[in-house]
Amino acid sequence: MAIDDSRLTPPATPQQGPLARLIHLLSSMPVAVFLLCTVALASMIGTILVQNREEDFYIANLGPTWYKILDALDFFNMYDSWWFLAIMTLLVLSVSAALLRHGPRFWHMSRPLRVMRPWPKKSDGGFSLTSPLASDPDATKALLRRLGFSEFQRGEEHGRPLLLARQGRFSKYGFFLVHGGVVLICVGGLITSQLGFRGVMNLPEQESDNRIYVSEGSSYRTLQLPFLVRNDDFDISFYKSGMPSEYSSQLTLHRDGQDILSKRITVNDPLRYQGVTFYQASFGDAGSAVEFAIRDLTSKGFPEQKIKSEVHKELEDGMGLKLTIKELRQHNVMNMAQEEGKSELRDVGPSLDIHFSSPSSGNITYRIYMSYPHMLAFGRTGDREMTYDDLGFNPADSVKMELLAAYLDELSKVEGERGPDQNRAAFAAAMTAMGLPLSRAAELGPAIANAEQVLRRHKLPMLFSFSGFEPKMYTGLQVARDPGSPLVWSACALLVIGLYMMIYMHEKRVWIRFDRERQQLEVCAVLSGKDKHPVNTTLERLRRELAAAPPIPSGK
Amino acid sequence: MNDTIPATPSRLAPPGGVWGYWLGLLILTLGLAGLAITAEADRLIPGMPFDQLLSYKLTGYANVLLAAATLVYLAHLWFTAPAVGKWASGLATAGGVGLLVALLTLWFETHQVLEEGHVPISNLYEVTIFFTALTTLIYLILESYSRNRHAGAFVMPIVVAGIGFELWLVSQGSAGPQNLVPALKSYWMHAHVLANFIGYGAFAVACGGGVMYLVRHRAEAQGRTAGVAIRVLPGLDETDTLMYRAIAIGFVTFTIATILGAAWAYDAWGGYWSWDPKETWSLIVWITYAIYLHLRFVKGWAGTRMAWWAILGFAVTLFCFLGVNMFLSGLHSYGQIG
Ligand code: HEM
Repeated sequence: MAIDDSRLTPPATPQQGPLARLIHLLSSMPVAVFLLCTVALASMIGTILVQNREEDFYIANLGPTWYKILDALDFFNMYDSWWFLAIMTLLVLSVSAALLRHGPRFWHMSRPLRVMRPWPKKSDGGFSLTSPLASDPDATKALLRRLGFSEFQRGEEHGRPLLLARQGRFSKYGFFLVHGGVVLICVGGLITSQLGFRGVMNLPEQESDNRIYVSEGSSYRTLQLPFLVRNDDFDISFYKSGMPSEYSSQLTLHRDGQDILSKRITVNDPLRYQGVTFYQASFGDAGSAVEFAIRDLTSKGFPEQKIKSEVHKELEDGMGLKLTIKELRQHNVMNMAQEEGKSELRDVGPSLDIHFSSPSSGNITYRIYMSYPHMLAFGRTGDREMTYDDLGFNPADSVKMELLAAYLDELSKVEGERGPDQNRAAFAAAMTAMGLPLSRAAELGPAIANAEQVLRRHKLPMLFSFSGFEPKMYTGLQVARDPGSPLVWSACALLVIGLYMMIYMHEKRVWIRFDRERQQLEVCAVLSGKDKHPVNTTLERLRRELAAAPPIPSGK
Repeated sequence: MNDTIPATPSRLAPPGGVWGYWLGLLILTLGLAGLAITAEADRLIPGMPFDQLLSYKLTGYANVLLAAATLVYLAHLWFTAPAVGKWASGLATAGGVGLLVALLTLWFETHQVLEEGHVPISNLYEVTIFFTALTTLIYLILESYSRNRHAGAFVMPIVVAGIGFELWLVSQGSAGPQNLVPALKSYWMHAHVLANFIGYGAFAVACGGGVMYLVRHRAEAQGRTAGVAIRVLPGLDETDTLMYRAIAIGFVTFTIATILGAAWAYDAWGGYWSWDPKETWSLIVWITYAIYLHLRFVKGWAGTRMAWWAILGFAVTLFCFLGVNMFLSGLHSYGQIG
């Protein structure tokens, strides 16, 4: 757009000296566009190369050579790498240089209109028209004022009055706000990254702590707060589908036995104190108490052992057998629809995952359901999915389990072919051995026969039944100190306001020459618009308003 | 002095009462949504399958209107009678308004059907509807300024592609309202998504403008004096203005959206910026259009290069909208497909 700035521009500052040349170079558009493209491309790489994973992951995916090269260049913690910081710094310097270079000129252009400027050599458009206003600069000025022009200068040219009107004096400030905003946001980010921290803290209910774990690449560093945080209560609610719908913790900050502050935090509603903010980020099991029973299928009589323990505990028998209590789930949602492709989700209640390992049976993970004790669910190492089967009764049912043991015992004595007759005889022997009346054979027979089949199918060394639990949760807190954020938020506001100004506010200057004899007004405009449309509408509107001006009352 | 007002002033001038018209449509939208909600209120039961919801049907009807509008816009390239253009705009307006009515209805329905209601811009299906609605409406607003109805033939196919994607989501069973994970329950999030999709819609319109520019430019470069491109497409300057205006709207709202997203992250995760893939890609989108503005106004670039840039910008935008969810993982997992 042709803008006749010549008169508004301060005398060109000498573009010499190394500093001036550096500013010139840094603020040049090719450099600016190059830097912006580089930031965009580098950030793109960071989203494609997964960041901050463990070494094995990268070696498995990229091979050792690429891993070494990319690791040496900090590509796996790219956004904190020296070279990414360097690019960002160059960008900030470039914007700052642009501010230094163009600032004075824009500042100058935004000064109030103090003196008359002559008719511009080059304008963005103009027109002339016959109007009674030609003899009345005052009325014209009033009209322009109504149209939003706020600054005026009167002059004369060859004896004819000349009026200069201007609006949008401050529009150039948008440049300062936008580019200053970008610089300040980056500075705020730098302050946060240098002086702030962000870590995690997992607090079991009723416990206090002041240690925060800050991750550094793939390791951790511990920080200590000058006060303690106590988790008074953790609460979680679920949708019917079993998905958490909300979780919250009642936190109390205290020091020297004295409570300072207490608040219930939820996701999206943190607690802030002395520049440190506590966010509800996650939750987990802090060692819930669980009760379950084990049936040892490898021992005679399938003896039962009752166990009280905690989640995350390991139990060993000293002979290579190991149980790990992995996970307590309070809700398990399953598709109970009979038809294929239909969905009928239902919560089947709590479950416990127990990892079993022994030299003879290998590793097996059992999932035991409290409300469905007869359901067998387990997976062996390498299984894609869990295997489900139905034992038909609860392993805690002593009569049936012992009868099953006796039956298997009798069966093992059978020599040669095994058929229905032998089975029946073995079952009868087992009933007798257990001291059960044969009248119950019809009732117990099918269940025991089924269970025998199930056990033979899966060759499980143990059966479990889950009888009770007392949840103990920890709240997962994200703890952050973010000293740069006030600056960042203010800068964001400046950026948005500045953008609006740069894009939607325009400086408009209009010159009007009054030719009294011919009753002619001659108009020309210089506009700093980016879009042709405000130029055209301004001129059109001006023409419409000037043409529609009422005749000047005679005598004036 | 001669009259030196540049050509085509009236085409670029807003007709009187543009905003009155849109305000009227807004009131109509709210009224229709009110009617739909009252009509449906009694039959809603918890857990009702989403394809039995009124909003699902309304979305379908509105999609039909938008597809029809696209056909009429395309026909308008050859049948240049103003009435054809008016029909196209009318159908598109009805479709856009219809989608908004559907979304407002869905908003109400989520409260009855789910355990906890939410503003229906929370999953990929919902935001895709929102995207098609906003692209249509932003285009129509710009059209009402330029009074040239031919750009619709270039913008509306993007809307139809959006509808296609929406239908694909339905066929995959990933449509319909779902309960929200706790992190999504934030006012920041609603404002963020709203502003974001105004930005995406505006960038889509700019992309349509870019294609139109290239088509006409090619015809001119080949020295054609007749043919559709020359006879009916708006002049290059006018199209350039359309692109710029769309990008200006988009850039401002997208900037606001990114800041709102940062504010949301600040409240939910304790950091306004964590270089999560979605955040990073919004930065890339933002930089792409910042470069557009600089090339245009500081370097004075114009013409085909800027048209290509508008198209490239939309490609980057699309990746930010969909590609990140499909190919990259991050905190914004609510958009995950499947
Ligand atoms: C990093 C992000 C940046 C953003 C978001 C940004 C934004 C903008 C915007 C929106 C405009 C207005 C375009 C228009 O006139 O409509 C602009 C103009 C301008 N920018 Fe930037 N800019 C950035 C970086 C830079 C850099 C690195 C430079 C360094 C040279 C620069 C120098 C300029 C100049 C000289 C103008 C022209 C001002 C005028 O004549 O009115 N900008 N910028």
